[in-house]
Amino acid sequence: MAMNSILVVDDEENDQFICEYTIRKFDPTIEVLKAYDGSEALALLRKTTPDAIILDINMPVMNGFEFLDRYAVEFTVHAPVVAMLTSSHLGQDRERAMSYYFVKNYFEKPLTSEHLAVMRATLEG
Amino acid sequence: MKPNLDMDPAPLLAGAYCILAGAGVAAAWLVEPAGLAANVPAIFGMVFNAALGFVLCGVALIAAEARHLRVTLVLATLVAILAGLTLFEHAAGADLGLTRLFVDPFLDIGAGMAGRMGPSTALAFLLSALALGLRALRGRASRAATSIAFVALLVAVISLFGYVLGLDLADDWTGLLRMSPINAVSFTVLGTALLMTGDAASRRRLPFLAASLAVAAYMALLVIAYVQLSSQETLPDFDFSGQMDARRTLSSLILISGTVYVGLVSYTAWSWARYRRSSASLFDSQNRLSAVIDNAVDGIISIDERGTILSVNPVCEKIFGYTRAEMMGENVRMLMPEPYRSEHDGYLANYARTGEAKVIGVGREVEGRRKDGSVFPLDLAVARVELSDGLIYTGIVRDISERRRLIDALAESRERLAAVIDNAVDGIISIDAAGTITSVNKACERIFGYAAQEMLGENVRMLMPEPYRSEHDGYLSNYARTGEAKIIGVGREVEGRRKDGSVFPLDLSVARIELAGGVMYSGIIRDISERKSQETALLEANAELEEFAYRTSHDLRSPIASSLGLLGISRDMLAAGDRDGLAGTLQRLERNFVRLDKMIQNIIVLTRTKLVPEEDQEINVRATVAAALDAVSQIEGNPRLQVNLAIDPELTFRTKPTKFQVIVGNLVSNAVKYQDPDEECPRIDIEAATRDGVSRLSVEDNGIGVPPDSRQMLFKMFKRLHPDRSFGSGLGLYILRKNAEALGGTARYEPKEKGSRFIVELPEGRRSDGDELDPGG
Repeated sequence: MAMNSILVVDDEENDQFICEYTIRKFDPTIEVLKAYDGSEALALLRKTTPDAIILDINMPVMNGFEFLDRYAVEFTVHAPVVAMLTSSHLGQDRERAMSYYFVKNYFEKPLTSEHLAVMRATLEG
Repeated sequence: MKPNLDMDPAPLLAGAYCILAGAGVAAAWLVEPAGLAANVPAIFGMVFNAALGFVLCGVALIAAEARHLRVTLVLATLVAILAGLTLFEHAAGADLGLTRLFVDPFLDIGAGMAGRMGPSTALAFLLSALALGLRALRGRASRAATSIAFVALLVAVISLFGYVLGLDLADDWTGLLRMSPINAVSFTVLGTALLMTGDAASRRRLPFLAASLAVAAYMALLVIAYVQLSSQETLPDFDFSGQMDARRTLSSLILISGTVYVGLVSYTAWSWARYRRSSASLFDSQNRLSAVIDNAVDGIISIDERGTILSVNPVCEKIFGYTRAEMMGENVRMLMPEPYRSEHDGYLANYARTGEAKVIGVGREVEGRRKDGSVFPLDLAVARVELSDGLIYTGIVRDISERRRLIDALAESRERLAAVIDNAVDGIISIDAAGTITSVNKACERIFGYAAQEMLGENVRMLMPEPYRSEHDGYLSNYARTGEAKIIGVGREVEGRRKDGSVFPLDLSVARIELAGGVMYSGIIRDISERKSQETALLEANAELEEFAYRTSHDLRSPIASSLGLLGISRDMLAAGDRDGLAGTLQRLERNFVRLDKMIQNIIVLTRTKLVPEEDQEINVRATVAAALDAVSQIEGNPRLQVNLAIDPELTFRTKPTKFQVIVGNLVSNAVKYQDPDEECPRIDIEAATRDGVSRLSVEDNGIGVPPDSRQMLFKMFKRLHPDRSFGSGLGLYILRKNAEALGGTARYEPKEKGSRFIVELPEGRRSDGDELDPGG
C-alpha cells in the first residue's frame, strides 16, 4: 500500500514546517494534512482517513494521549500507520503510546527521511 | 522399766489388807484366845493355812506392783502348792497332815476337818496364785491372768451373795462353793485388786468386769438355789416351818433375777461394744489427726495460756529452723522478733483479762524469727481451744517470704510499667469490652485536651468525631460477635476529636487483651497532625517537582529538537542556493531561541519567587501597573487596545516588591496576549483597593477567555490553553499563583460573558511582617 497522505498533528508551527519540508523532500507526491491539536485532528479525521498520522504528545487543549483515547473509541476505521513524534523520551510515554494497536512507530523529534522510510516500510510490509 | 513412784494405791491397799487380815487371824490361831473363840467364832472360819495364804498373796501383790516379779513368782508358787495339796486332800479324802503342819488347831469350825481349808477357799487360793504367777511371768496383766483372777473373784462373790440372800442354811463351808465370810471378803478384795491392776486398760474395763461378775454370780446362785430346792424335797429330815413361804420367795427371786440378768447381760454387751468402738475410733481419729498435722503444709503450734509451746509439727522445724525438742516447753516468743517478742506475754495476759484479741480468730500477717535470727513475714491464724483441762491456743503459721517477695517484685514491675506508660510520648488508653475508658496516660491528656478524670469511666467515643462517634459501639459489638476487626491488631490512621471540638488525624493501633476478668482493648495513639501536614506538603512539593522535571525536559528540549531540524533544512537550502527559504528558516530558528530564552527566564523567576527572601515595602499600585503595561505594550503593541485604570494614585500595598511586580506583570501580559483579534473595541479594566484588611487587584478583559473544560487547570504548571497562540511558556499563571500564595494571598479566575477576570487578594500588609509567611521557601 502506497503512502499517499500523512496527517501531522503538532501545535508547534516550526515542527509543522519541518515535517512538511521533510515529507516533501522525501516524496513530493505525498499530501500533507495539518492539525494543531487533538481536537482539530479528530475533526479532520471525520472527513478523511490519511495513510499515516504523525502525532505529537504535548499539545494544548487536547494532547496526544487524549487524542489516541478518543480516536480508538470513536473511530472504527483507523489510519494504517500512526507514528508518535515527540521530544519526550520518557519510557512510560513510549509504552503508553505503543499500547494502541494502530500506533506502529515512536520517533524522537526532529522528523527525518529515515523516519519516513520506516513508516513507508511499515505501511507496505 | 517404769519408775515405782507412780504406783497404783489400790493394789497396795488390797495387799496390805490381805497381810493384816492374814497375820491377825494367824496370830489368833497361835494365841488360842478362848473368849474370842466363844464370842466371835467366825474369825476362825479362816484356818491358819488360809491366813498364811493371804499374807503370802498380799506380799506377792505388793511385790508385783513394785516390779519385784521374782518375789511374786516364788510366793505365788508356795500358795499354789498349799492350795493344790489341800484340794487334793479333799478330792482324795486323804490326810497329808497339812492341818497340823504349822499349828495344832484348837478349834473346828464349819470345815470337814479341823484346820483344813474348805475346797472353795483352796480353789480361790489356787486361782489367785495362778493369776499372780502369770503376771509375774509375763511382766504385765495378760488376758489369761485377768480371766483367772475373775473366776477367783467370782467364787468369793458367790459366797458373799449366799450370805446376803440367806441361802446358806448352816455353817457348812465344805460345799463346793462355800467359804467362811472372812475368807470371802478377803478374796473379794484380793480378786478385785488383781482385776483392776496390771495395765492401763484394766481400769477402763472395770464397768464391764463388774457387770460380768454380777451376772455370773447371779447365774451361779440360781443354779445353787435350784440344786438346793430339789435336794430339800428328797431330804425328809430337812424341815422347818414356813417352807412354802421360802419356796415362794425363791420363785419370785428367780423371776426378778431373770429380769435383772437380762438387763445386765444387755448392758454388758452394749457397754463392751461401745468400748470397743470408741477405743477403736478414738485410736483412728488420733492417728488421722496426727497424720494431718504432721503432713500439713503449714506449721501448726499449740501453746498454753502462759505461752508455753505444747506441740509443734514437723513443718515448724523447717519454718523456724529449730528442732522439735528445742521448741517444746519453751515460750512461744522465742519464734518472734522484737517488738512482739517482748510484748507477747502482755498480749496473752491482756487477752485473758479483756478478751481483746490481736490475732485470735482473725489471722494476719506478722513477723517470725528463725533460729539464725533472720526475720521473715508469716501468715498467722490463731484459734482458741477450750479443753477439759484448760485453755490452749493453736496457731497455723505459713512462711510467706516467697509470696511477699513476689508481691513486692510485682508491685515494683507494675510501678515501672506505670512510669513507662505514663511518660510515653504516645497516648496509651485502655477500654473494656463495652468501650468504657479504664485507663489513660499523661500523653492522652495532652493529645485530647481532657484531664484524665474527665476521660476515665466515659465511653471512648467521646474522643472520636462523627461518624466514628456514633458507630464505635457498633464496631465493638460487631467485633465481639463476628471477630471482624476494623483496627484491632492492624493499626491505621483515624481521626480524633479534642476537647475543644477540633478534629485531628491520629495513628491508632489497638490490641485485644484477654484477662481473667474479661476482655480489654488497649490503644496506642499518636497525634500525626504535624506529620500529616508535612506529608501533604511533601507530596505536593514532590508532585510539583516531578511535573516540573517532566515539563522542563519536554518543553526545554522541544525548541532544541526543532532547531536541530531547522538547521538541517537550512543546510539543504544553502546547498540548493534557496536564499529566500534560508532567510525564513533562520527567522524560525531565531524565534525558537527567543522562546527558549524566555522559558529559562521564567524558570529563573519561579525559582527566585520560591527562594529569594524579601522585606515588605510600601508599593504604589498604580505605578506598578503602569510599568507593567509599558513593558507589555513595547512588545505587543496594539493601537486599538483600551486600558482603564481604576486605581487611586495614592494607593499603596505593603508587600514584597518583586513578587508583587511578577503578579502584576503576569496579569497584565495575559490580558494583553489573549485579546480577541476579532473584537471591535478590545479593552482591559484594572482595579485595585484595600477593604476590610484585604488588598485586592482585579484585571478584566474582553478577550478570548478560558474554555470551561480548561478552567480547573488554569493555575497549574506548563498548561497552555490556546493552540494557535503558542508563545507562552505555560508557567505564567502558575508563577502568579505561587507568588500570591507566597504573599499569604490567593489568585482566582472569574469567567466573564466575554473574556476573563483574574483577581488577586493579598492580606493587608503589617509593618513587621517578615518573610516567614512564604510557604514556598
